[in-house]
Amino acid sequence: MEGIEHVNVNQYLGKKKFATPNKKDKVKKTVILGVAGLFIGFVNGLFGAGGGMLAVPLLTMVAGLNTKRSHATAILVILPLCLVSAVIYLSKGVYDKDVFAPTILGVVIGGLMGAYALKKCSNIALQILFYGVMLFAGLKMIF
Amino acid sequence: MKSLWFIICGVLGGILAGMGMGGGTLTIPLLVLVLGVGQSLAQTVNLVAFLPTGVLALGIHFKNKLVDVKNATAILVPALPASVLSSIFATDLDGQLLSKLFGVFLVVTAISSFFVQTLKKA
Repeated sequence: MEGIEHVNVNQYLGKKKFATPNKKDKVKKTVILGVAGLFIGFVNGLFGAGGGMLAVPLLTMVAGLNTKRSHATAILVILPLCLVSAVIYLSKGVYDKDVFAPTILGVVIGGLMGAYALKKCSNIALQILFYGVMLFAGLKMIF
Repeated sequence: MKSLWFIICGVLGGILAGMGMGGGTLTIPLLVLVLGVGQSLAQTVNLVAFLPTGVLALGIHFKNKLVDVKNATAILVPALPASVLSSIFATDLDGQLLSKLFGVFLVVTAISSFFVQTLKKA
């Protein structure tokens, strides 16, 4: 199942060469990951978010990981980035305990709920909902 | 009473994050648009809130051998200094401008991700 998914994605996106790596392709892959990494780090530091949304497709398409491994590996990427940014933001005095405490509590609770809910329903409706919300939120922030 | 609203915001944002759909995506706009929190503060809260969940999740993923350390490192080595740089001047940016930029980022990501995903499924 994993192998089929891997080949399908690569064929569809025209990056079939990564399916059979040789030395030159491995170097190319590392460079692409590195350049994308610059962008991911920059964005995550600037916005305090968004690294995951960029890292997952990057890992899927360039590193050729399957969905599960992409998501899992993305966390290894984002965690240090968020830690570093958090330390810098906090050191600049950006802090308000009245906002921090309840929100963080909520996020932890919501996170557990979401992780549980994911098992129950993973389908295209979810994606539409998610990207719809993201689009709406984004537009609201611009205007 | 206001604390309850922050908790609700966190829950909503957390649910999306728990489903592997990007943590800050909902949390930050909710905090900024609905609760009038400053952009930098909202971002900091989001960053800090992710840390415990991220650590726990990562532990589980390592146990299940799902983490590809080599590829993660290839991304992280340049990403870390880039993050340090942008974090340092992010807090000095005007909050409104940052909010708008973040909004642009969300819109672009939503549209492109949606198309990439539906392309994959098709």
